[in-house]
Amino acid sequence: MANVTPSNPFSLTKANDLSDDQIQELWVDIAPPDSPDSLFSAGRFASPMPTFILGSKGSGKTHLMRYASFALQKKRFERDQLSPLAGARGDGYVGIYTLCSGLETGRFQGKGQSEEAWLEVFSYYLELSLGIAALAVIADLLDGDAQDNVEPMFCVAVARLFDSDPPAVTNIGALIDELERRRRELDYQVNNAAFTGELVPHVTASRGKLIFGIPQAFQSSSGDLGGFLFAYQLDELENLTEAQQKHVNTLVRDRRGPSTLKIGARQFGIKTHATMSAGEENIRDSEFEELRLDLRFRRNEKTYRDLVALLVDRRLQNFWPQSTTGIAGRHRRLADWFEEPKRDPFDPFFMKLVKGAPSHNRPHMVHLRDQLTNRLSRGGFDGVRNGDDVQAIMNAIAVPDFPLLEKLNTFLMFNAWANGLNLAEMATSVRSDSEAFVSNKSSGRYRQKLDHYKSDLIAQMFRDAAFRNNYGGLDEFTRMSEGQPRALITLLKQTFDWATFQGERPFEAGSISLDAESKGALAAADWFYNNMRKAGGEGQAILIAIDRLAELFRINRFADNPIECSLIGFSVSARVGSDISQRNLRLALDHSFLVEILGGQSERNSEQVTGKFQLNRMLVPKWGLATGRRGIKPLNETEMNAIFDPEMGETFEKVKADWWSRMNAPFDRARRSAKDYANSGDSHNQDDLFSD
Amino acid sequence: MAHDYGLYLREEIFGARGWQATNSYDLFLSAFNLGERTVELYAHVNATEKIWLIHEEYGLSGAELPNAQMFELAGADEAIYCKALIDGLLANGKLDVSRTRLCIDITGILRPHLMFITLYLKRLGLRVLDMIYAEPRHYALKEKTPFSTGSILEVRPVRGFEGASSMRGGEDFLVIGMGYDDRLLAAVAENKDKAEKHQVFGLPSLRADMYQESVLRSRRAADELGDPNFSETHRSFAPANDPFGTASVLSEIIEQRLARHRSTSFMLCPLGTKAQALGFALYHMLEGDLLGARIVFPFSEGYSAKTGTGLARAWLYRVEL
Repeated sequence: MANVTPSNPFSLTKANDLSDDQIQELWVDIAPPDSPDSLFSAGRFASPMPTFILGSKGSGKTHLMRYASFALQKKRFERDQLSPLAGARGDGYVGIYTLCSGLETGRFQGKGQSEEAWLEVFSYYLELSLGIAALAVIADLLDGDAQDNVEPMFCVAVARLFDSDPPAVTNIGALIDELERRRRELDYQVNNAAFTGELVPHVTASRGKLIFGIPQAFQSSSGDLGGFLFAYQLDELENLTEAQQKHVNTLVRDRRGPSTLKIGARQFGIKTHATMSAGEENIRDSEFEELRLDLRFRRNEKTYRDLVALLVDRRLQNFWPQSTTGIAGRHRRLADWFEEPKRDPFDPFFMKLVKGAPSHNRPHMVHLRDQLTNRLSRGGFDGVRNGDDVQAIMNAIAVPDFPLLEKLNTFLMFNAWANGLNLAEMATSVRSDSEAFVSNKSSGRYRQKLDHYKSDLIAQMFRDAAFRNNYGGLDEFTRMSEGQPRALITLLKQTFDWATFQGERPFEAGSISLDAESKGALAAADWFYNNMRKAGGEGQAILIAIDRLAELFRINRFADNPIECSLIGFSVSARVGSDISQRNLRLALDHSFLVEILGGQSERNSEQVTGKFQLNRMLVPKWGLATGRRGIKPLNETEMNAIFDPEMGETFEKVKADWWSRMNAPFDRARRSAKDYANSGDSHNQDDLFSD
Repeated sequence: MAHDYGLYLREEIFGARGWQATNSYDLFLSAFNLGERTVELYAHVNATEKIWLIHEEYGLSGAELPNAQMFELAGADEAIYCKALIDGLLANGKLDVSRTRLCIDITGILRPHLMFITLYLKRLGLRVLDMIYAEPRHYALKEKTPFSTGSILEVRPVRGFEGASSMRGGEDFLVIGMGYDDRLLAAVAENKDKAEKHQVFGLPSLRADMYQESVLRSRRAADELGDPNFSETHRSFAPANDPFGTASVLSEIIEQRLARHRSTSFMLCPLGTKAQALGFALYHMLEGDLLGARIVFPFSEGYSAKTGTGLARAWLYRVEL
């Protein structure tokens, strides 16, 4: 696929779609390879300690492992005019990359054979396959004279590794042929078992003999062949069954000589850490190390931001040369190619959003007035006695020139109402704060409320104007990708497609419009969401839970008085929720629909552990939610089960109704003690916004 | 040199002119589901012994099962199921590979079973076998028709079609027979995401609109297939109701690929019609196996018991093994 010229520089989203050359060209790191901060050194390829490289789909595992593999090392050695052996010594390792899916492990089961029999066959098959791969690398490492001197002795040493039928050959090529012949014979036996019901493999080398023995034999063949490790890189371990993973874990435990294992897997793809050594488990940091790629990125936002900026730049250089000249010519920052959503309350955009209407006709003002008037029909309340009072409030809080501030004022009034404050007095106070802010942009409490609730308020204004919520800007896209480079590439791919479809010239002229960015973000959210549809029953349970969670967050976002600002997160005690709910929460995390919130997760108070989680921000455009998380809503037992147990549809409807009535005028539910739908009902009425 | 698939007999036995005369058989096998096609064929075919194969994957209730001779085996993979069936028939004398005139309606048989049974009969020494395939008038919900149901359990080689990895080259190349089931398509494309993919669409399709419907479905798996795999050079067409034509197209695709990339590891995945799945099996048996190719399939928990409505045409394929 290397020679395909894409019409979109981001169309190749997966490392597997890239050629070796493209992997090399598109590789970006955040620090030089020998720096401990670099992504490359985090893989610890030259360390004898086995490493599990874990991450969600698209976090860059395969790209990292392929970049570290011998095929790519060789290209770098050639570039640096090093012999393979000198290069290997310099790197401290050679990477023997193998995709577990290529082993077709589904063959090693069923057909009327026991699991033990299959495991023995699988073990031998892996032994032969990795042995062949190691020999192929060794053939490349030896050149010219070294080959002639070392080969015969090396072949004798390898022959000694076999329990029976040692191959009687004197060169590496013949040795590879012989191992391939044995593997072919095994293939035939495995296939034939389906017809004969018999499996009598002739196993000539036991577990670990070839995998660890071949590198040892190589380095013992001559004094000048040492100084580096053979790193077996097994990618996509999730494709192995539990029993097969146990076998690999045993190799991890029994590792010896100048060999190590670097194992790539989805984070939920590790089915067990048990070994076959009397059922003992491998312990992290004792038998192996773990690198969690996306976690590493999410922990260090700046590093990730720098990395993705480099990554996008590199893509453009390689696949969109017309843009390189654009950037170079205009010295344009990458972020400048993206139109940013409007956030400044003094931006004339907000006047357009209300279609230039006078204050009393704007949707948010009409809504507040209607709610107050309706409530008045049941008698005076909270400083409002009659229609004149309502009108006085409306006049006080109007900000004709700056509709976003006016919107904030209506929100502050709703908040005061929910808290039973005197609304007439509140209106006076809001007016003076608002005027002060307009005149001196003061950074007091008014400004603070604006900053906190701006995202929700703007979203409500968009909805009132029947506009699609805006998502855009490189920063926002980076945040949305949650430490998964592939998610960002997908966002850019969809955005690029929309922009060109709309006649724009992305990365060549002008900026990518917010409209194209928002459509791209929505398409990427759909892509992320629909991926789960294919997972069957399990996927369905996750989707139901995520839909319900998002529905509640949406109620909050578009409420008169949201209990939390920019709500996409929740916390829940480890003891809360049924087994089914907890399982589905775990599944949603495993599939990255939910993301654990770092820094303070697993807070320990006196006796319980509380986890904090949020919706994956790739999904939020689907429901028009915020990408910047601020609030976190603690879930009680009823809410947890109503969301995460697909069978609890009825309870969920009640929870939804409860959320709605707590957060919307006339706030009847907010003022009652919370006990209607749950024994454990908790009161989350937001405090008076000005009492902090 | 490529095998000449043009020599095989393919005959329309039901169509605009109604039913044509067919041979009579000693044994007729067909898989039961709730589509009208299989039941009509079962009634029409003239055979001394007729046996319904019951696939638990269709999730049929006791009340839905036919009141006739049946073969059932729960919890078995395609090899164990088909071996038990055929070995049983051999043991009780209903099948003698050198004498029995055997006919199999492949319309309702699950693809892995259909492929394994053909290969197993060949290995037993059967020389000639008639197979019948019935086309629906249309699929129940057009391009939205669900085919597989429940979770996709695994993507693995079909038993007996596992190939030999040592005969394979380094670059994975997956030829997918495109059908309507984008879930299965996405599963196999994702599982084999390293492979370059070539799509074989059913064209001419069974009905005029079915080609477009299948293209629409395939777009839903665009992400898993990867954009570069949508280019013209990664697409071929084979008649949806012609196993021999399909085998011939596969043969060409692979010959062309080998001419460009000697070091290729071939994978085939038949997700199109049953007639095409038979074509994939025939190609593998006659040519692909020699290249170490494997046929992979995404195994689903279940399959809809009724996808098509009515009977439009029926075909007889004389398979010479």
